[in-house]
Amino acid sequence: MNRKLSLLPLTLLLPACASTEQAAQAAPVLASAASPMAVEVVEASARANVHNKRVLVVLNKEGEDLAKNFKSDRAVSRKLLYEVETVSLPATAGSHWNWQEDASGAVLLACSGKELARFGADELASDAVIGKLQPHFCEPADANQKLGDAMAEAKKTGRNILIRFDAPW
Amino acid sequence: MLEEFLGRDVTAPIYNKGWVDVMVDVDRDTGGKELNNRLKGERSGGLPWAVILDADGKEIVSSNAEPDGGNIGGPVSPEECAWFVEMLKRSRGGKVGEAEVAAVAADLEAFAKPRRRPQR
Repeated sequence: MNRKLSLLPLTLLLPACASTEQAAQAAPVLASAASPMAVEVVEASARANVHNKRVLVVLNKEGEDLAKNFKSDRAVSRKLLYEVETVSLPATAGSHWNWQEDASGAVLLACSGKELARFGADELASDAVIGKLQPHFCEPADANQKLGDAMAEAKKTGRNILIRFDAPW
Repeated sequence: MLEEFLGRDVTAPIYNKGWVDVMVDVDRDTGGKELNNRLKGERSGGLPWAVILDADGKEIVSSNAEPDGGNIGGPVSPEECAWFVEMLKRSRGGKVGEAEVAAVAADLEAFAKPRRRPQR
């Protein structure tokens, strides 16, 4: 069962994405009671915000699982792991994006929820998916810029800085 | 795992009150690996690795636990969790009280315990 939220957390609505390029593109997107966004997408957007990624919402018509194609190709799955948070939903859960319920495909979102692109199922064949998504990937963030920004914030607010070093794998 | 813990309902408001959170992806962030190497130096352990700095960039404490210097990673084991709490105690400054650190410690125990491997 897909849980739905009528309102997104405010933190997700602010253009607080990791890179300035994302911030320039981002615009607040409000979910309403008329077109609720699945909680899985909200959670993925929060993770994407922290990790400088996009959100790929894969919408499957009954009996299909497009994301399975991505997972079967190691190179594709690794690239997607690095660049997107993937959420698989039934096509019937795509009302927020005016999605046709009997069609499979995907919607690519910025971490703010803003739609960047949409793709039909035939555009997401395993060997073509990276080529389709690549133009929309985030620009790499700058680690030293992150630290500089954190130091400025820490000075302003009287806090210390906890830096976590990690990798997608 | 640490990121998941820091976002929990009990811990998140206390954590955000006391610390500025930065996540550096050593593979994807430009200069990420170099910054990791610079701040970590010769200390042992891989990823995840964490360090707490003051606002001037001076190190207060890292995830290399005392006295043996092992990196606590996640953390998950009782010893790793204890060191993480020690990190918070040493760096809470005037923003976070002892009771709040204790609340985070209890929340960490609730989070980590089901993830520990059973001891044989």
